[in-house]
Amino acid sequence: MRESIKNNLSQLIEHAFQQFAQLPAYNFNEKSYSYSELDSISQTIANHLKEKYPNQIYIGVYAVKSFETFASIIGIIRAGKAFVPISPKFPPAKLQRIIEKSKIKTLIDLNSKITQQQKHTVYPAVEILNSVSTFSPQGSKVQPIEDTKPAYLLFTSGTTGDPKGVSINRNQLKNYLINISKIIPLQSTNRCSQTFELNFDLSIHDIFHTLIHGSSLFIPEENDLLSLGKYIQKNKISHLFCVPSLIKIMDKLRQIKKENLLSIEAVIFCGEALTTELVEKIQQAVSNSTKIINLYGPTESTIAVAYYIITNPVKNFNGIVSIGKIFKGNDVSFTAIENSAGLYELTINGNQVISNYFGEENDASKFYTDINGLVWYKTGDLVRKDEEDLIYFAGRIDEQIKWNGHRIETGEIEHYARNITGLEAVCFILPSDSKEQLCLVLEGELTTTPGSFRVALNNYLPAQLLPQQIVSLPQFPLNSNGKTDRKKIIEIISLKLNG
Amino acid sequence: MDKSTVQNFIRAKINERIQLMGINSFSPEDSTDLVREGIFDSLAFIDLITNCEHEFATEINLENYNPREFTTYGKLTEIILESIKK
Repeated sequence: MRESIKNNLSQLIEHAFQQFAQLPAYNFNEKSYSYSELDSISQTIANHLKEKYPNQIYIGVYAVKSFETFASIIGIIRAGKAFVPISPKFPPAKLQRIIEKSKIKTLIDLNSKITQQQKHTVYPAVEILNSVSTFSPQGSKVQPIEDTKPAYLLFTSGTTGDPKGVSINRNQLKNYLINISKIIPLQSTNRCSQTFELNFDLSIHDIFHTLIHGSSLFIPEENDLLSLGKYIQKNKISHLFCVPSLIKIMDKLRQIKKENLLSIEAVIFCGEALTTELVEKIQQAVSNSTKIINLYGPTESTIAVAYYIITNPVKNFNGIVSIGKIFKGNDVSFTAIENSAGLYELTINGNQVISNYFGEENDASKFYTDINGLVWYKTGDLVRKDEEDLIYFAGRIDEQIKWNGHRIETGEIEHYARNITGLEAVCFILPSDSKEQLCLVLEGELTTTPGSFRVALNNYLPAQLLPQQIVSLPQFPLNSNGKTDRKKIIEIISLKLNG
Repeated sequence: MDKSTVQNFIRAKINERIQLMGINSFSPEDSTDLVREGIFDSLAFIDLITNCEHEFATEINLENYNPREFTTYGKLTEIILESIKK
């Protein structure tokens, strides 16, 4: 592996198929599929795509979790093409916009999940491939493919509501795989979890990180996520990779127990801010040798671009765990934020970072070119750094608010609210026709009166930063990627308070 | 608290979900698995449980139930009723 990892993406993949043929690649609902089976079906798909659609670069794949879907993704990559996951959970209007922007003409749906009605309404001009048995059986062995070609195209929700395309090339994906393999070295005996939706780029880590090391990927069914601890125990999962919110669900369902997590060698987080409280919960249930890793990275930087292997004591700021240092081959720059001492916007550049959105002219609000001609991506993330150059996530720029003349981070108010109440908290300015109010939403009920809670908060925050509205929600809504959905919370509270 | 009150509440939540999917009506049977049928994903199912806890002022402990079972309409109703009685 050490020798081959220097090569290009297709060589990494072909090497894995040769070396690990007899080993289990995937486990879906107790059914195991070997690398040899994956090799066979993905090569058939690759040959068919190369022969029938030589000029198409982007191929859609209907993103239901199944062996056929995973094989389709790998088949598309082996054909030298780029996959575009089409989520069945997206509303029709968003799907239509993605089809329009990506210009895909072919969509693989080997489980035939797309209905006739959807075919007519959402995909009228797209050819849908339903059966491998109709694919051309002949074809040459997969040849190495240049790493400059695109590997996948994902759509993030743009601030205007129009999805923005992020096209990652094979070189960027390979660079990520090389970097992550040093931080999380896998063995072919390892068993990794697959908890992310396939339109979320963290699932691409799952698929390719395990593939190049010959490890097994265990894909829980939706019901299994409701007893994830038992699933881990039953399947002897060694590597759990998830968003922090999934651990909160495990906690609620009393699944974080020593006997459930005996096999765990590493717990890897990414996708949203990680709190020290959550890390402590995991630490209490796993062995001392278990690695806990916090990854950070926007989709624009190929899955993840910074990491922190958690140490004791846990490096944190305001209870939010550090995101550590940037991956090799990438660089960070800190843009000072006006009137906010010690706070910066994180900008990144390097061999994992894109330089423009798919099909769009350079967007100066998100990318800029420095005097050396290097293109930097403005993440929109607020960070701090310490004397060891460790980076600390401090919220989003668009969540930074100006209140009573002060530029404040909602994260600070949320931190103290969490510490006092033990409840998750989200703080924002409540939009109103008459007078805006600083609003704090807690996940669960206060055990004291709002008045005494405000007094407690006042020990840490000046009076002008005390929230005027304190509201409870039984549970914070999560978006389809499992992250706390701030926008939805603001929507619910606005409706509740403004009517 | 009677069974029909609990079922009415669950059905109201089902209706909220199916409306988002563009489906007009759906009548669950006791054996209908609300997660496998795609009405709730795992995260939305947790929301449903929390909403039920809030609505019926109870704590629902799913720890000792099989997740292939407690996501059915009938079993979920039964678990909620049992937790209310406790």
